[in-house]
Amino acid sequence: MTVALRLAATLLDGVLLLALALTLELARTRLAARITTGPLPPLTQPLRDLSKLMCKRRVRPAFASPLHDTWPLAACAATGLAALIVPGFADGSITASYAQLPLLIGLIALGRAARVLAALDAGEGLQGRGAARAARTGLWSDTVWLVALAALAIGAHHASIPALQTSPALVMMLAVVAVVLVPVVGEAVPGDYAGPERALFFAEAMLRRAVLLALLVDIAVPYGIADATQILTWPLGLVAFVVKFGLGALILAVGGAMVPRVSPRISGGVALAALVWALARDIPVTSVAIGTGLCVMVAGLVRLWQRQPSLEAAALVQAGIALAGFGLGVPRGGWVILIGIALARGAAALAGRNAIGFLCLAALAGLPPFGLFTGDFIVIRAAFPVSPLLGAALLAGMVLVAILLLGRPSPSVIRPGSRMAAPLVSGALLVLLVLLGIAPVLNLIADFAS
Amino acid sequence: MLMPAVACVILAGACGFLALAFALAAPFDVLVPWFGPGTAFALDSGQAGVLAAVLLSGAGCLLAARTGGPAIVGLILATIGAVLAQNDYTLIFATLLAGLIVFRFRAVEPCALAALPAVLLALALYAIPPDGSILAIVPGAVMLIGAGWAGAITLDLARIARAVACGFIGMALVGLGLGAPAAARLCIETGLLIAPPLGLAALELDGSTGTRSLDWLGGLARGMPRFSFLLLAGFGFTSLLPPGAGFAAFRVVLDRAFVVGGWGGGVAGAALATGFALFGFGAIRGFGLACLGRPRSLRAAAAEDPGLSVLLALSLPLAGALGLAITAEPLPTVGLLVIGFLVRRFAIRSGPIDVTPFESGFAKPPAWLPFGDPATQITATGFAAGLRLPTDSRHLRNGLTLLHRVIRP
Repeated sequence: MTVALRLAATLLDGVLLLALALTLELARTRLAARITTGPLPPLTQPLRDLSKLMCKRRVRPAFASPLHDTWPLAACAATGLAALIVPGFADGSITASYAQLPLLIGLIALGRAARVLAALDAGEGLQGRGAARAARTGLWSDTVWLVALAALAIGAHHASIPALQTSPALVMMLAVVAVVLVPVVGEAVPGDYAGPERALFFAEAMLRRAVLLALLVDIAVPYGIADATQILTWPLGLVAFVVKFGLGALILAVGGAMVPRVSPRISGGVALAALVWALARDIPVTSVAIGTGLCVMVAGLVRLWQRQPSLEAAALVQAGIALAGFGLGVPRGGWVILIGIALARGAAALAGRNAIGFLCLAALAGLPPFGLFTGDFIVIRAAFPVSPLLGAALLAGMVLVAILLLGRPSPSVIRPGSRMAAPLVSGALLVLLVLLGIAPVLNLIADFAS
Repeated sequence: MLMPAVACVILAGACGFLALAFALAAPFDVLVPWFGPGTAFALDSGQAGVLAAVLLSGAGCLLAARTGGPAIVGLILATIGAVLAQNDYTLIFATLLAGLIVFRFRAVEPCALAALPAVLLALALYAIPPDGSILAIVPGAVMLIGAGWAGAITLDLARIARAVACGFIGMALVGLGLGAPAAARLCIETGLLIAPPLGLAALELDGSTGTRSLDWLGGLARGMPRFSFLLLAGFGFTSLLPPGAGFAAFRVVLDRAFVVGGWGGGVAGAALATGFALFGFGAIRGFGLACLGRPRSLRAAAAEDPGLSVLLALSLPLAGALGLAITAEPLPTVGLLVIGFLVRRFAIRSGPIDVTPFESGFAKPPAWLPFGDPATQITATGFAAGLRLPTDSRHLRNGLTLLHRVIRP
């Protein structure tokens, strides 16, 4: 009886995932139609598309190999098996022991490999170029997925999906990776495929998207899961899974729309950061903050040295010092620097390329009488007792930024004779900045620098 | 006639070692005092498994070899000596002998892809402590990623075979560094069974098409269907994708990395992830550009399936690799194979999908094959263009200028 229940839960899971894949495709097409102000497709559109394709005649390129018709089947078999393996609404299904990260990522990669080989089969130039691009994308996404998921598995000392350990930070990082890597738009069918083979590729693409989303939902929100051997818990589990899946799809869609031109390379950095975060849990957060702050400061100095936009680079250096301040236990210094950066950048943006722009540069260089000097002073004074080397490094950073900024001012910031865009507001912001700087001198805030 | 007979004897030896790998409970020691100072051999089930893989690949190489049969036999014997050695004298003696044979006789190269990894494993097992060491993880990770990268960008099939052998050695080193000698043995056995068939295939292609370069091959699946099928199996196992021996080895080491955790596990996990992606890319590129699409040269268009001995030579190690995958990952491997077979069978019989049976439907490319057209195909160079490091003088000049800017006073 138990085995029958587990088998039924597995099959129901597969059917549910298939239905959710179709729903996701329908939502995508309706949303696309709404955005382009076209007519809304009917609710059964994905099914109608698939059934229409199944009835159409096939096309076989003259130079295709005998394996030409095997690729869609291989892609569907691999992704279908992944759909049966990924944990869905219930725990303890009959495939639960195979819900392992390497197998799941391997099956998804196998489906993608079949698509790439299908595109290469006909020997067409354009399709081949698309295949090469898909293979390179696959190379990147496989690495990123495995590294990101390894970050979760290292903590759990296990690769089983239900046993993965998550923390809010890791879930956030995984979400960023997913936003960049999970395809929100529809995927093109590879090669010269028509009729049923084309339908299979469409179905595989839909199912793969749903499998990846289900995997993310399982990892990020491991709540409301039914027990496969307790049939009475199934309805609640089904409802919870559908709600989680819908919310996940919404987050991915919104995230994808908000960062439409983000480079896929960002996902690699985030995945690596997740792995380092998972490994460095024993290291105190303060040390991580100080180390990150120093790295950010050096990155800003390098950008200044390379004569990249001065204001951004100087703000990066100051942000690094602020981060180090948070790590050193002087959050007030950090906050003063961050507020100072905001005021100086705002004033510079409104002032244009003139004398006020130069004052903003001086402020970002951490010179008195502006508020950034106060923040820098607090942080560096706190750094010397902790480590003279750290204090010297921060001081050297400040001196270098001042020399680089004021010694060779960028023409993008200063151009004599140019007019101010909003002189009053930028002037007011500078006044605020000066007030922030002289507040400790005038003893406006008694224990500010203590 | 002599070499096929010797190959049969070696095959029988492989079967014997395979039986010992399953049956041997305790190590079996042999002392040979009259053979040298302190010569001693021992055999346990792990060594028997490695030797079975070496002999299986060796029998295949011997079947396909046109020259250098005695050198192959000598290399196999030296490898057996190195794997069974129980002291440093015997180990170094056999290792140097194997190295000398590989260095002197170029004809043994496919067999060397089976012999040298086994010898290196014996050396590594002797040198690395059983509970692992980060000093083994780091070079293993570098070797794995480097081999994956080389396999993904090279044009030469023989170099791909060498990269595969190196990649599995790297993976085995990572496994040893993580304190899992059994996982390392599985990696080496997989490499022993996958790399030699690729090396043999490169030799065969060199003979039948005049080139081993992926840029001049293409469309082999039409003229060489059986050879292409075996190449698909070889590249499939190489790709570390399921189902296959490569995936089984990858998974065992990755699981160990998760269990160990810490910085060692993290480095191993990141390296394995990168290796997985690079080997997948290289395998897709290798098979897709050699066997699919249109022929890129007249001889590739006219090539035909090789003789039975070569097909058998390729099949033997690949069958061993499949057996290894079934032993290591029974249900996923068998499950995927059965699902694939049933779906294909169903598709052929009931006809929802128009699948050509593999035994029929092969036609030679027509005589009017337009050789101007393949210029529009993607080439292997173009396929891997995104992975190549900038080596032209312009990039070098830019780099030197940047360096000068940084270091100038």
